[in-house]
Amino acid sequence: MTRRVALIAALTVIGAPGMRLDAHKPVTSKYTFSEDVYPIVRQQCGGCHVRGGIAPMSLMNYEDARPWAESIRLELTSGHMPPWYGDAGVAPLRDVHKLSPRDLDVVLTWVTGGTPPGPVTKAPAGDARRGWIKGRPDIVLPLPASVSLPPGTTEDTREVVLRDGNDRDRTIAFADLLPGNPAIVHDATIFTRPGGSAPPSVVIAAWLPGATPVAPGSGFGFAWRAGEQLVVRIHYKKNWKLENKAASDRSTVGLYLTKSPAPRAIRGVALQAGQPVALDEAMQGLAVRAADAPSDVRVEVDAIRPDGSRMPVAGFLTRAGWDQRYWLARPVDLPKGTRLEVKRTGEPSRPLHLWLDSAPAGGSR
Amino acid sequence: MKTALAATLLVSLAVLHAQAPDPRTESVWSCPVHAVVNEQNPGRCPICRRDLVLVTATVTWTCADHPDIDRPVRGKCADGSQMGPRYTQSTHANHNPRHGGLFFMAPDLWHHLEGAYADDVMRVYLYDDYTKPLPPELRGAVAGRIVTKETFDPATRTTREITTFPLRASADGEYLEARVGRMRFPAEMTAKIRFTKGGDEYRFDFAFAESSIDKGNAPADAASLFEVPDDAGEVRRLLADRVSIIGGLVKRGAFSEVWVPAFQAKDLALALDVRTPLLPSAQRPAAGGAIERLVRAAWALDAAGDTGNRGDVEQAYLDLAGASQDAERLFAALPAKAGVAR
Repeated sequence: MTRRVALIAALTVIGAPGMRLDAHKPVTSKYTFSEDVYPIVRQQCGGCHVRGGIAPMSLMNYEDARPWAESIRLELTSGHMPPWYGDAGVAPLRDVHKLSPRDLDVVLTWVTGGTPPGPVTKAPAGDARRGWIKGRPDIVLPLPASVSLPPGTTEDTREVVLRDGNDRDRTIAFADLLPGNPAIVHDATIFTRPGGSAPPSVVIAAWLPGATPVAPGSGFGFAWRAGEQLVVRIHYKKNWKLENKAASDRSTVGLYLTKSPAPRAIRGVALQAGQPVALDEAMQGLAVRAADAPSDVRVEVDAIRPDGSRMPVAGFLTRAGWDQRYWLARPVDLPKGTRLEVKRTGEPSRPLHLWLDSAPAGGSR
Repeated sequence: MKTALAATLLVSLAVLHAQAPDPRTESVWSCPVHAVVNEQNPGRCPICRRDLVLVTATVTWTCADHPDIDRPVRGKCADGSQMGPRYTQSTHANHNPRHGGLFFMAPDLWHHLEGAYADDVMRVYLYDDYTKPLPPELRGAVAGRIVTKETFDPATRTTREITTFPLRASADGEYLEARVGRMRFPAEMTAKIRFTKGGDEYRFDFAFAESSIDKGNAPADAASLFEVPDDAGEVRRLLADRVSIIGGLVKRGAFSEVWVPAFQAKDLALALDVRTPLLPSAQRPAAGGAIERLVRAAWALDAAGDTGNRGDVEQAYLDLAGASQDAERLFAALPAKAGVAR
């Protein structure tokens, strides 16, 4: 019996298509790239880890993915990838972008178990996304000119006014960004402001590559008032392949207008750890977000209602360069007089800019 | 008959393989984490700035736009350009101690070592990336010491060594040794090793439950002997049991053994995960999150156990124990006999 198993094993190794013989290449993974890993990475990592994408490498075929095995292990076990850090243990969130426990186990088994290729399939290498995920936007605003990064600049942030003076009030459901050069556009913030260098009136989107734009739900929208500017702040970052090389970008922002007849305007309520904020009107909480946050700060937002009941609203972990908006699974009712409390742990020295995006509960604009 | 046919096929395939040109191997400087980096000279990784290490890689030839091309000899690509080299590193797997000691992999993922404590002497055996004994020319560059007592000041995050013993080459030059004297079991000591002159110093935390006995032992693959029960209540009980076992191993410093119960805990957690749809809907996101954290922590524990750094092992264990507690609380609502959700 043992001999038969050994013989079958020998045949399997020698006959496996696409597998090189290598005296020191023990394969312990029962999962292979083409059969098990590729479907996961295509679905979960394909927004960035494609040729020409923001990520420094493609994972869309075996030859591209294999040399990154140890790096993948580190990124997955540390929880850095995929870059979505919501904490469902605090309160449920929408549009979760994480690997399922099983998928996580499959990929980790493969990267640590000899990275077997599996049957040779010409898995399409795939290019970075070139179209609008949600279809043609209602308003398309390209950068007025290309942004250039000289060879000596690895990282830079540029703020560009896309429209100076809105001709009438509009309500935006959501916004997206189409990178001109996906290899250098790391993240972006799309917002409105009265003009000049005033702070943002409304942050419409905290854009990250690979993320699908999220609409806030029927009946809500972001107000872009007449006369206000529409601005995009883009964080450019070259990957190691582009270091010491010139690069340029001309991205395009797409705005999708709300179809609701009388949408409620979303606005950010600024929060601060250790200093509860009392709401002076009834609101519905929709999302939480941080800006310019340091890494590894665990944030939990609680609502203490006027009747004294405490309700966890949302929790997440920050990571520098990966600020994003975490949408609550469903709007949370916050009566007038509700106090919002923030608990933060880790990295105490740096300030944390936090907001609860919410809308008036009564339906007023 | 079947055996004869299989044997014929085996020989035929072997002959076919023998006719293909063998890819050549080459020594290149590569990053321990980013194997895509392959340089002809030592230096730092352009991605993460780690020190490059010398590796043996198989060289084949490919085209930039067609990574599926992988040839043993150089040729031309469809656009007329010359093929470029592809370096494929071999992986290693044998982390079994050879001298009855405790076996660790260095954070550079290339060097390995085994510590064995017997007769008042700590012996350190050195291995390469294939876990073959380190050749003499590389062994000579290794320097280190054994620390049996040190203090740590959390305010300044500094460590002060109280009792140390220099590691010296053994008489036959096969290993390093330090006479540390008689210690009570579990005997805890730390090897601080620099594998190359001017390279990073790594720490390996040993805790010997008993004297090492050199009998060339290789532990059985205990993880593969484990079966996950169908009964959900039994799964939860076993999960708590495995976390307790890991805690015991971590406490007594048996880091090279933690991977077995860690992987068992992971498999038990995955068995709970498929039952998540049976939980009340409000609990499912948190339950899935707890299982995800447990799986990550189990893999982190496996890696930390390999490298033998107490701090990393303890952090991974804390993460695993915390996730296990959350899973236990959230899956408590599951009926004991709940089957697997389809």
